[in-house]
Parts: sequence; C-alpha cells; structure tokens
Amino acid sequence: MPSRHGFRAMGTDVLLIAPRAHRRLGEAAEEVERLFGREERRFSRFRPDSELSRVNRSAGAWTGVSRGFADLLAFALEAAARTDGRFDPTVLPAVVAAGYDRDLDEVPAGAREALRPTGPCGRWREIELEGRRVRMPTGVGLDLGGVAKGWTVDLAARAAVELGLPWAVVNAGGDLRVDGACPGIWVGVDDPEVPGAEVGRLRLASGALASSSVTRRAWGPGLHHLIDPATGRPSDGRVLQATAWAPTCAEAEVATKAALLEGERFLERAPGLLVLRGGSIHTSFPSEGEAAA
Amino acid sequence: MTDRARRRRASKRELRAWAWIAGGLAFFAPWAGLGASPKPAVTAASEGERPVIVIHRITRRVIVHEPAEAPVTFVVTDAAAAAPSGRGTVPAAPATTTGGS
Repeated sequence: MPSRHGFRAMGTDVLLIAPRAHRRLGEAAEEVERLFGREERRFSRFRPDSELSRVNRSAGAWTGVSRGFADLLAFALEAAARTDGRFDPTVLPAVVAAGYDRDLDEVPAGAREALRPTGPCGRWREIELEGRRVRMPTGVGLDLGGVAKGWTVDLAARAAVELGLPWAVVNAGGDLRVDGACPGIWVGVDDPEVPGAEVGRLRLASGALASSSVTRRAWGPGLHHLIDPATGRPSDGRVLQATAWAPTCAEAEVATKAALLEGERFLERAPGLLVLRGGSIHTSFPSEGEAAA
Repeated sequence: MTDRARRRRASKRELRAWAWIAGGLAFFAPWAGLGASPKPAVTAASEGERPVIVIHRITRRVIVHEPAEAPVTFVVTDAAAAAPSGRGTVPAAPATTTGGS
C-alpha cells in the first residue's frame, strides 16, 4: 500500500502518492506543496497580486514576466493553435460573464440566473509573446486555470522523483501524472451524474490523465466553467465528461477541452473516454482483457 | 291478547327504524374508537412539505472505439456500486480518481 500525502491548493485537493515509507517522502511532500504554492501565486486569477492578474491589468502594453509564466503561456498559445482554438486561454471574459467571477467556494449555486451578453473568444491569436515580454490585446483576459494546474502537476511529479523517490503520482482534482518507474496504479473514473460512483477504472503505468466535466464547477442549470470558445458560453454539447491520456498532464488538460467539444471524433485520433448525455460511454482506451491477450 | 300486550308490540316501521339505528352504530363504532384514541405528537417539521425522493436510474452502455496506443487499460465497473465485480485483478478501491474539475 503506497503512502499518501494530501493538501489543498489551486482551489482543489492535491494528493501525492509514493512508495510506502520511503525515506525521501517527507522532503518530496514539502517540495510538492511548495511548488503548488508558488505556481498558484503566479497563475491565480483570483489573487490581485498574481503575475497573471498583473498581465491582465496591463492589456495593451508590453509587460515583463517570469520564465515560468512565459513558458506556460508559450505552451498555451501553441496548444490553442494546434487544437484550432478548441483550447483557448482567453476565455476569461466569457467565464466571468457566465458568473464565475470569484473563487468557486464563493459562487452561490443558482445566484447567477442570466448570462451577461458575450461573444466568441479566439483572440489568443492577438497575444504577443517575445522572450519574457508579453502584450495582451485590450479587452482580452488570460485564464490559465486548468492548464496551469496540469503544468504544476507535471512539475511536482518530476520534482518528487528528482528528490529520490523511485516513482510518484501527483493528482490535483483529477488531473494526475505518473513519474518514475511506477508499477501501475488503478484510477477510478468518477460518474459525472452519480456522486460517489464510478463508470470504470483505468490502470495507468506512465504519463498523465486529465478529466473535464460540465457537472463539476457548476453553479446553475447550464452554468459551468467549460466555455465553448466558438460561442463564448458554457458548452452545451452531448459530452458530460471527457477523460484523456497524454504524456504530460498539461497536454492531457488541453486534450480534454478538445474532446469535450469534438465528441466521439476525438477518439479517432487519441486515447480517451467520454460520458455522453443519455448514459453511453465511448472509449478508445484498450480494455484490460485486450491488453492481457 | 290483552290491551297491555298490544301496546308493547312495535310496528314494522318502528322495528325498521331501530334496525337502521343499530346498523349505523355498528358501522361507525370503529371510527369512533379510532377518533377517541390518543394521537402521536405532531412536530413542526412533519407538518411542512413532504420530502420528495426522485430516483434516477441510469443505464450505462459502453461503446469501444478502435483502441489508441497508450499505457492505459480500461475496465468497466458497476456505476451504481463504485466497485468492479467478478474481476479478480481489480482492487476493491482505486488508488485515486479522475473526474473533472
């Protein structure tokens, strides 16, 4: 039975899983917590003193940023281009218009009855990034919430292994990364419609998994945090929950956003699992039986 | 027959009336007993709106697409039970979960 160390950061529960009673476990746990604290201070849109808030306030002018900020922004812009804008780091005005304008714990359910008018997103193409300088277009806001979480999960899992753990799993609210020589762990896939139940299990030996669900971080009928950049409104497609595998957690985060909007077509080119409205589950993960055969 | 005996004899109409009265009493006696019996105390909560329990039954259907290359394998579990059944290699509880955030 592996050891587990849990704490709260980035508005979610974070869990470090590592070989039982390893002598570097305490040190690794401290480092993982430190990294989450550092990246939260950098990327939180709810902290006025975060680097992200400072960049958003400086729209229209060139702003100097840290190397970590520039690296993630470059990754996000490249991901937006690769997914043809299905992943969009500039959905902030749309998320705020939908009612998610403060930490979710403070967004009372049902309090936001109507959406404020908003339009399509997609202005990530206008963001200029040169080395460690960025210029945001006026009227555009960055929201790197999900991808920053995945990015931090990757950093934390790597750091834990570099500190001497043979392997480590870091899970932040369902976005998880396996690093090192892991013997394989079982990961339950939550049922988006039945709290406490699961729709299946995944056995993961390496890489990362991420999930996005329209039933989580929701505060009213049709009001949730997953914005369709084409409309600027919370997505209302057939997919309730998308789970994707990728070599890194940041990549898996991007993949779930694409999967949520593309539906079954996503499974033709990538490993994933979709729970659709009406009850059906579509997956391109190999089944346990096939893998054993 | 004497006059006294003739006075005691009830008419058909009287007999019918007495029969109706006796039948009515017999019919209502149980309700009267129930009405007179002590009642359980009524709380404020139970006087309010009754809770409605809505049961949603979801039938899951798994459609497996052409498997993609990945170091991940999938096992279907019972959505209602949160634990797979009849699969010896799958532990009763997963090490962790994923489900969107």
